[in-house]
Amino acid sequence: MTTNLPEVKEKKKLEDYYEMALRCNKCGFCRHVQPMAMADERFSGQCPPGQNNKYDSYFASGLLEISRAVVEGNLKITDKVLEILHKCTTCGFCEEFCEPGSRLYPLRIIMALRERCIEEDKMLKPHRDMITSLNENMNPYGRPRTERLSALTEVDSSSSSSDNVLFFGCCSSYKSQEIAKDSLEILTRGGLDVNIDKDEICCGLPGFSIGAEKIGLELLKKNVDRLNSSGVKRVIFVDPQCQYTFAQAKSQGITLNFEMQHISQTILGLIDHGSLTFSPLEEKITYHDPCYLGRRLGIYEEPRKVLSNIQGVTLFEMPRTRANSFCCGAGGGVEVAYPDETARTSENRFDEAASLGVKSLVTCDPLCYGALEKAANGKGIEVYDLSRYLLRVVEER
Amino acid sequence: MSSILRSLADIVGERWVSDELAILASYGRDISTYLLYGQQKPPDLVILPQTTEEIAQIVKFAKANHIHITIRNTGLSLSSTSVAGHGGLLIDLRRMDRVLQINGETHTATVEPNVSLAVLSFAMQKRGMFIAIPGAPSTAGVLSNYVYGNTNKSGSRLDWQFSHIIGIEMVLPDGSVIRTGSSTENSDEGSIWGFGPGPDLHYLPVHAMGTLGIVTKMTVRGHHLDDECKIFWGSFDDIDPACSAFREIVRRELCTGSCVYAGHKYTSYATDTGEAQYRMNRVHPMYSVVLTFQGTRGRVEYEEKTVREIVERNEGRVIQDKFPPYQSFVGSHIAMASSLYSDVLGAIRYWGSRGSLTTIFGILSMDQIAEAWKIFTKATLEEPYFSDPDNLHGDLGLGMIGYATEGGHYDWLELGLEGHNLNLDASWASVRVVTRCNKEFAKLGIAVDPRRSSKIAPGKLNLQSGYVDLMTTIKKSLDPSNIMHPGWWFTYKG
Repeated sequence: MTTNLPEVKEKKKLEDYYEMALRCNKCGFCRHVQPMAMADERFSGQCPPGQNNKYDSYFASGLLEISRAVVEGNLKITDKVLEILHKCTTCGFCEEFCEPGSRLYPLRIIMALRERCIEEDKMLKPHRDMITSLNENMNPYGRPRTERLSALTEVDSSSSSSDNVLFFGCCSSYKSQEIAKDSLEILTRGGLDVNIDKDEICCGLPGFSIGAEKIGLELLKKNVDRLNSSGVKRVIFVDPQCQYTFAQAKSQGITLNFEMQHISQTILGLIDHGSLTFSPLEEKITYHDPCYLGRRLGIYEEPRKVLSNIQGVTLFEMPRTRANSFCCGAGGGVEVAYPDETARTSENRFDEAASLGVKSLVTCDPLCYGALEKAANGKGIEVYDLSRYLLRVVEER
Repeated sequence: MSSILRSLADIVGERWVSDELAILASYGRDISTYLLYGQQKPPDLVILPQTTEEIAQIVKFAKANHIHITIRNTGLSLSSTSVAGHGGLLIDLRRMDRVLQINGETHTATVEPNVSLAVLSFAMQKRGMFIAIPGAPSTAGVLSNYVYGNTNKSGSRLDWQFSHIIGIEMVLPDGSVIRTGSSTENSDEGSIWGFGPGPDLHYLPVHAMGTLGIVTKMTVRGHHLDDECKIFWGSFDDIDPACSAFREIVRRELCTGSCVYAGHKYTSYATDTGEAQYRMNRVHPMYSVVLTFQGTRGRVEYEEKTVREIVERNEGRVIQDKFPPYQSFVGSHIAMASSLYSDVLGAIRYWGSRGSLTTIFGILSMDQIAEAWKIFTKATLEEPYFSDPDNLHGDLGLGMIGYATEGGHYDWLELGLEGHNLNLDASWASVRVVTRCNKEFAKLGIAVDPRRSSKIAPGKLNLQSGYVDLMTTIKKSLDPSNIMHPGWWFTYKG
């Protein structure tokens, strides 16, 4: 069940969602795995902030009530409102059910409330710092641009005339540069000629996700204008969150003159073409569906198909999988503002993987990788980004 | 921090009690307030205990300080029981969510309040058992639905939901804790029977007039999974032959899931979107019996043959044979009609429903189903608001489900006027329909369940005065200060 999740820029204001908020009948399906898909009752809860904090307010239905109360003027945007609101990871599970069933869009309402907070200049300190960094450094981490892709200094693709550009995203450009390096290497090993965009800046999602639409849109436009004018034919995204942001450009009236692909799709194409082959590996693994790659972009099968091409690898599905996948806890600006909250969620997810008795956990979103890797600390399961996992077994051509 | 807040924090920890408006705002409404547009009644405080002992301490504190208590479990109450009508303290049981024990030898399960139907059902099936499931979303709590006494969809064989309760643990309004049935032994061996030792108290919360306590643990009965489970739909052109066939099926003790449906009621459960329901309504027969055959292969064969004969004798048609799309609803059918399998509970698409304007729940003779449906239909059609096409917006549906209960001697009837309602005029029109129906029902001796029927003041409709007096006396003796309040809509003073 793939849904039309909220566009990056939702035109409606919080007030316009008032009646929709009232229509929530508290059925609770935003809090639980779809019963038909339940595989283990121990891992059947959904909504990370709700599971962690228990009060109704932290679940989607509670946030609708908060939105309602704000519109009615019965509730001011206090520090507590900000805390509840910004513990939502925007994983989108709530809308997975509410949209097709009741035509309710809890996540859109949550995003509208976040925008309202920004309008009233009500912001968490870490988010305010993040916006400052987006303005000054074009990345959300407060890191100078000179640090970008420092692990890739030996690579110079400026002379390449490839039609393909690899868009890394800030997470792998600054924090997890090994992912950027591995992504480039696996594509290169597959014989794909790919450019690095040295002028790449933040896609804008960190802004959009906390309700700071203005800076988000500004960054998105800059990226699209530059890529459009470069004449590139295909942009390959390492980070599905960036790809999702670009995918929403059309709704902003922005035209993309290039095709978009997630790196897992590109890798699968190289495998199908015979350009990438792998040596056998006897290993039990599981795969974590990133929220943005799965529920947002509907890409569930490609990473699995890629992994199924390694002879001897057995993929065990986690109890919460595909559209029912449980968030790693890092999205929506939560990791920046509430790292402990992210840790609790990622540990929950990691425990789920551990319940399968697997040796490795593979994912393909740098943010998820970072959160799960921290949760894995010393627990006997290795966490891999997809490219890194493939580099273990890729055969020389 | 106020002294009350501090005292409560001493019991559960500071994290689990709150008087923040941002927290309280989320506790002002439940599904019952859906009809009431923007109205809400937030509590003054919310507390999330994790143990029976903590609840007992909270209740003692509330009693000593004359603070109203309202209890919220999953928040799915149709009767406002999870909305603090008079403010005070709301006890949210969300942290009590453990399946404490599943015993394959005694076929029992013991759960805390916030265990959902889906979770326990799934856990039981892994062990070769099922639990009777009421007509509630899979997200609803086992405990609150069993206590509440809903009928289950398994009809005359499995009977009322509360008959599956083996034992309960309950905190009374003075903070003391009682256990009923085998739970009185507090044994690790597992509870095995519901009656004794000592007086049988486990129907006490079921039949309460007002809240008598907070159930913190419950042991429920499980049943063996069957060798075979098959579905059956019979459709009819009129309500009378549908009810006639239904009556005969129930009285011959055929089928576990034995329901008669009229109007939209089945389609709202079976479809996963409002649009799908509209499409389904165009082809779905107006009247149907929805049945499940379960048991040994031989039993299933016998039941199927007999039921086919009964349906055909009553001028019905077996539609799943002739209309393949119905096969796609097998899952929802099994879930709704036999209520056995949580892996198909997702097919209960309550969200496919547009929401209820109002619902009437009644207990009546198996012979009165058709009559009750006709009264309800006539009252709706003659209501000026609903007879004005400008008011309908194509969004009004009438529906009925009749469930055999009490060993097939009675029927538990659900009549619903369905449609998204953000309009108080429509709401009041539905109240007029209900009021008129209730008057007509009273003449026929049909008992309406006031706890569940929308817009009906409790204690005013056809309940025997002796029953009301007895349960009121019990409530007064257990809760003289009336600190435990049953919810917003209830004006009971104790």
